[in-house]
Amino acid sequence: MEDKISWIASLIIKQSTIGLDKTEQVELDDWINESPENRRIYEGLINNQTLATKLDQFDDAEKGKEMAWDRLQNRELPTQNVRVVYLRRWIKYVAAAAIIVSILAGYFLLVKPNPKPITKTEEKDRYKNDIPAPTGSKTRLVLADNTMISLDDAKNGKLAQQGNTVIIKENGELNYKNGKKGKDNGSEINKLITEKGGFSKITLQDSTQVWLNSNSTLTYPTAFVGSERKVSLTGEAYFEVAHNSAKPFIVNVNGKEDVKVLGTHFNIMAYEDESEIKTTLLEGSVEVTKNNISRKIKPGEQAQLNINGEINVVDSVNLDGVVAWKNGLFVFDGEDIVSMMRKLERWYDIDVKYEAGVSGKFSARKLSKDAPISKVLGYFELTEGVHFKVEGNRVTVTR
Amino acid sequence: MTNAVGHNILIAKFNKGDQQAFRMLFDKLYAQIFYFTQQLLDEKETAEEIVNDTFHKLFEKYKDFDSLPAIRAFLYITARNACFNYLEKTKRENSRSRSYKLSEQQNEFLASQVKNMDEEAAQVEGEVLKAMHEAIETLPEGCKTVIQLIYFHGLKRQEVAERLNLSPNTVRNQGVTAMRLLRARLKDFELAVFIFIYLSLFA
Repeated sequence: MEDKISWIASLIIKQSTIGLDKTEQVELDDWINESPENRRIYEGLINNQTLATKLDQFDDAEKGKEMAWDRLQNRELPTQNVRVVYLRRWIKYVAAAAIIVSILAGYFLLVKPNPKPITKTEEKDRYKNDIPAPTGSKTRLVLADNTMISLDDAKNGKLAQQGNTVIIKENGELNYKNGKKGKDNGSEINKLITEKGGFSKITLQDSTQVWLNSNSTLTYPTAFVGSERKVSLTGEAYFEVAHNSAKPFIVNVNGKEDVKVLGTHFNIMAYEDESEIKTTLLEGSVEVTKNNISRKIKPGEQAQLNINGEINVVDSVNLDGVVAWKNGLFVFDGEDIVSMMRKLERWYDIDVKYEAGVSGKFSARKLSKDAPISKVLGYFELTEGVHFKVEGNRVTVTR
Repeated sequence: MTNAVGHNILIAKFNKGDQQAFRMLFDKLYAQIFYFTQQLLDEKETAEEIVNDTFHKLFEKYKDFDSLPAIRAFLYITARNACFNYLEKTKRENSRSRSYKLSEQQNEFLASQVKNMDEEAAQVEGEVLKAMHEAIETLPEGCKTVIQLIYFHGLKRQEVAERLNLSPNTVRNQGVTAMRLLRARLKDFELAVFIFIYLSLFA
């Protein structure tokens, strides 16, 4: 057994989440019975009260981590630190005496060892510059008469009025509210467009909320009149549709498929440069239709429309991975490098090139999107053995 | 699979003295070792020093480890020995001077705890707590605050609602969402570990 400890730890966690099968239960019981210490630790972890105290203490421990790292950094580290080497040589030639010791102490205080870990020079050469995370929402709103409003430039408050609907910007989000009941009951088409590095949230006139990812367009009416609520999407968006059983909500995706919902939370990923359109359902119920063929999916399932027009339904989808973008995180889920770089491309607005022989599947727990690209790439360089070169806007992926 | 590959690459980089690898190992294991040491000594300052020394020793021996379990075991055993030495030292100092840092009884008690400490059990506890902590950390802010108040501070739902100025319903929903996310995330953790173990055994 390579790592018995991680195995037992995972059994304990599994027992308290989805439960153990017979073999696993026996293995865990054997471990518990191996020693009274094992039993004591186990019982402490399954008791909610003691567990809560432990988690609290552990949390405190994590909080002290940064400071502890800094303290550690200020000691000698066993890498090529030229200043420390000179210091060592100097000490060799000096006899120990009280005065000398205090001179040394003074010297240590003056000579600050490199506070940040030294990155290999070759890494410095490969990253000619860094690319920061995008700022602002990089979103524009196009009204029915083609007037364009840049959301980053617009002030909070009422932006415009379309018929009976008032468009308000608050907290960086758009809200379509019913205005005073005027005579005009019509509806017009508006578009919300995000650029690369963009992110936006809009509440439609029926209270449906939509989060729009980078490089995407949502086309929608200012008011939902008629027997259906219809919108169109290219790119990626997460919907929380307001319940209205009398008026099904339909998303037309890239002009290729229709997603019909009744009151529900789902994510649609439909970028032109991806081979499939993926509709993932979190709550509620949706029906995906292509060419008169429909598939209904349940929460936790994902309908994938491929280029042949076939719909495949996949279950056991990592839901958090699918909507991570909305929560400001990158979560790559066993993806190949190309799929991963496409996501980075949309966020950092970069141009990606691949050298021959680059391969591998990548996953990450969570990486903040609000970070310069070197942080994300650095993580993969360290853990997955690929390397990157960054120059201007161009990122090259190498072995 | 990526977990195993990731660990191997991390250890390989560590063996070459790669600073980022040092940092990653530190991030992975610091809290566990500090938690462990603090439990043994029942105080913070000395624990901080011991943990600092322990990681320093690890980094000096960067060439000597070929796996993560080996590194983890080294850290726990080194920390435990340091705790034992510290307690022995204060016992000697106590018997010499009149000003006791620890009363003799406390010292005896702690020393016996250290002697009886089974580092396998302690490591298991450390890994479980780390996994749970990571899972909670990745919760969205609202859920995380609610979970922390309920589980860490033992507040009841009504008290949480009052403290955060939310309706009790919202607090309940946050808690439900949080538990659902936690269950999903913890499933991912052990899924990764399972695959790692499976590959170690059969690959």
